[in-house]
Amino acid sequence: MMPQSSIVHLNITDFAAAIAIAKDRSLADVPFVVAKAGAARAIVLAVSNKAREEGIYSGLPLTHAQRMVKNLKVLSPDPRAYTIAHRSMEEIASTYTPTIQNDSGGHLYLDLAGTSSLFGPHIDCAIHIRNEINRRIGLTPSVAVAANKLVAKIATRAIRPAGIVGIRSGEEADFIAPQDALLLPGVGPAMAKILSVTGLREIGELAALQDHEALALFGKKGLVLRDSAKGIDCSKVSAGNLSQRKIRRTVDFSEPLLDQTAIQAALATTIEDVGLEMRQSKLEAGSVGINILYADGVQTACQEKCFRPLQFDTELVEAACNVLCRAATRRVRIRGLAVTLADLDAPSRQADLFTPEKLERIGRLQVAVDRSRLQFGPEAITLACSLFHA
Amino acid sequence: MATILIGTSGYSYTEWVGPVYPPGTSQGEYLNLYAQMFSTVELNFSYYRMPTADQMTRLLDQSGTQVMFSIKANESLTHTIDPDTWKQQANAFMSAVEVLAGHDKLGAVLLQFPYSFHYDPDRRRYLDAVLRHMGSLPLAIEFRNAQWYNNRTFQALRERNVALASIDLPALKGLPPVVDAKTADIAYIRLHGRNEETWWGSDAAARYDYLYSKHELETWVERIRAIAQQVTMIFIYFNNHRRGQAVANAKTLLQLLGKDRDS
Repeated sequence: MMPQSSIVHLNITDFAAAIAIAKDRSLADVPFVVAKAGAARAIVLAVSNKAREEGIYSGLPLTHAQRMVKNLKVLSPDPRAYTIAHRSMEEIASTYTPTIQNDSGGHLYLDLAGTSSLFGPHIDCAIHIRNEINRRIGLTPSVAVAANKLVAKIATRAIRPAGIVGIRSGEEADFIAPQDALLLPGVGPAMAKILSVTGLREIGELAALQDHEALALFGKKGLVLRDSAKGIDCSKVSAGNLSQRKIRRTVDFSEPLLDQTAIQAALATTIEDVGLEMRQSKLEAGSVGINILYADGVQTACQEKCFRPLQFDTELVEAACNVLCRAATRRVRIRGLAVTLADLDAPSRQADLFTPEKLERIGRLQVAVDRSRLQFGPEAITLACSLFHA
Repeated sequence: MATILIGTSGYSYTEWVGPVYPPGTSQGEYLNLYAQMFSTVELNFSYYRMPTADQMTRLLDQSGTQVMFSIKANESLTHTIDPDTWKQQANAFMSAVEVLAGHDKLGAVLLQFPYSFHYDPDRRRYLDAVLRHMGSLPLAIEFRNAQWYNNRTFQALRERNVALASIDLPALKGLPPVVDAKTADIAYIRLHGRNEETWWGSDAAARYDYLYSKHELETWVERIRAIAQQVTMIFIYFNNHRRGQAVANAKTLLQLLGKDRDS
């Protein structure tokens, strides 16, 4: 008997718009968008079905959308409602499995392995969870059951805005092969342009590329792209809410330090390390925390919420130095410190996993630095202020 | 919430006399007796021979206009397609089912394509043409080849308001995955049984000789409830017709959904 696919992806298309409709059913037949209306250069964050039918899409400048639909209804984002909805979805799912990855934006991954004796076939259990979410919070997720997260995500994207897909174990590649290449997670606008030029439309066409073809067309990331197109994904469902996950590093000094320059150098080195891991996970940090262990055994800690999510080393170091100043309340030598990046979230725009979109100068610089560090090691290139520590 | 109609694929089986129809029932009485059990039926004789308006009129009479008919498209439109004559065949088919539509008793026309109907440019062009040609009718489509289950197909069906049939089949490699995708105002569900051993290389009698367990149908109740939130009407047909098992399963599903014949 074939093993059952056990990874479930629950995907609520245009999460913010879906929440708005769940709260006010009269919005279901109204073209509206969610956007920060007062902000300069506001962009559309989420779109209702009716607005999508008018050609509006997420990421479109709000002024452009308003020109497309007269009297377009614009709703402000409601972060509190999103948090509550995510918590409710997780609470419902947690009665069926302890292994839940609660990503932002209406995405929930579950691993139902080992639950079938209690709740029956995984596809039935997934449908049951979907129906319960609908009954209790009025949201209608697309549901896919597959062997891994990648294939499950492609499946929910294929049937969105709503529907159910169950892919039998061993048939992942067959299922994703005829799907549109743009459904492959990580393919963003820049990658789409390359795909368009090369004439590759289906995931199966990408999967069929030889090594040298993938490298020639897409550079170093070509092989990763090609393997993704084969449905290969070994990542586990990471239990816990994404916003509760943390990236943490500790550093112990060989001898206690009092020199601020040396301590800040150590801090910068540590930040480079956690920053790289964070960016590799396609995340950004909402807060930075510092724990200090003094030579006399006393510990102090300070955490600061950031005004805006942080991605790059320079901004992380700046924030961390500010937190360090607050945490270091004693004039005592420091034996070690720990850096924690928390309130992690996916970047507000879909990241292009394989080919970075056109970034600002600092972004391009960070991408180049990360690439060098990954290829040649962390010492290959580093911030000048960390040299003292090195 | 959608209106849910449940029935069987076909009603005119001599082997149902005994298990379904009382002993001694004549063929002309089948539909009338069937209409007392179910409010919809999927006609499948139309696949083997082109239906006529007279036949449709007789069926309406025999059912006492109590039954909503869905009808399977003729094989000349799905299995043995002749590029030169399919439009004539489609016209003949459409003129026959117009009788049902005229009496508001046409549920859907089912286009069931075989495993050999691959997702290639010629067949995609044909599908586009036949859906346009028959677009005045409520259409449902069933693919037996998994290649069609992709986002472009779903989107194309949405644009044409054609229902993609949700199907229950054995879990065999190459057969379609479990997919309930809303592509039209109606939903269409076909349950063929789960005979893994006899699915390939045996006759229809063996292939559809299957009785769903109550537990298997209970799991369908959840799927039906999920679908019901998105459409206005759901047609559900049991095709495991051997020895009247389809009837037994359809009755059980009605009970599980808390419905009677007239739901």
